[in-house]
Amino acid sequence: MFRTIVVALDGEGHTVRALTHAIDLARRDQATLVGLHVVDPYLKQFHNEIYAVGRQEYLDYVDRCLETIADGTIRDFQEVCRKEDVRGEPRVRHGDPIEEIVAASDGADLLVIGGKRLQGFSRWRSRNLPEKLPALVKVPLLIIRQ
Amino acid sequence: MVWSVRKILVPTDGSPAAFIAVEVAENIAASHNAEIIGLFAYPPAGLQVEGAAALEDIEREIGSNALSQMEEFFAKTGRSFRKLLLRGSAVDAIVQTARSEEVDLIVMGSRGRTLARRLTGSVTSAVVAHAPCAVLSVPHKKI
Repeated sequence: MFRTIVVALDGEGHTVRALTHAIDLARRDQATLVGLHVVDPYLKQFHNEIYAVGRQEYLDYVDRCLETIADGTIRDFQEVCRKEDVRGEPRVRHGDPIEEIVAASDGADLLVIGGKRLQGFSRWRSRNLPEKLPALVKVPLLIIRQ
Repeated sequence: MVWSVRKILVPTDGSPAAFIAVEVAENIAASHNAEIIGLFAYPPAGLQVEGAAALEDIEREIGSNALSQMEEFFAKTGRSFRKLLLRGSAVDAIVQTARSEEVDLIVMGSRGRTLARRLTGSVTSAVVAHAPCAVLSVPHKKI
């Protein structure tokens, strides 16, 4: 039924949980599992507010952090796929997570994402992908709650 | 890494989008040998005005037909199926049933029957926000 499954990963607990569900579905359907990590340059927009250190230094630091997270996330994904005998394809995109996830899911049979339980201020502050994506994606979307 | 799916809740509003979700739910249920619960919730007549009760009757009739259609579909596939026709808001009914029945997955269409729901996608988003389990949102014209 599902030949290509895309799972969005950022290394946090809720996406690791989504990955376990995606692995199970991929194995049942012998599907290709695309592990998608979006490098979000969100923090870079604040470089003008950084006065204590050099701006370029700040931007380089953010880049290094984002690269470390991306490398770790993709490495963990590949290791899980190898261990669970699932055909895994890592993919890294750069940009706004919602836009990149929607674009990367186009043509897939299923998109799997994790979702944190948000309340109060964190709900307001969050971009809240699980509640926004159903209206935006063109493929079935499986949301795994923490 | 095994995801155990024993019960799947499939809410419907009687729209074609909802029936696409039924087919997707059957595929998942088949690979997990899961039971399916079909649900239709119709809003109570809010105001005591002429015609309100009749509107409620119409909604109940739509729900009854939609659930019968699901029942026929699952009878053909041999799937274990139960149907629930509830009076109340769709979001509350879905979330409360998911809790009380301890369902593992909700499968629902992401485009609704009414214009307001099509514009806002409010039912799917609200279910995603409050559901106690995984939610699979199936867009219209897919699979």
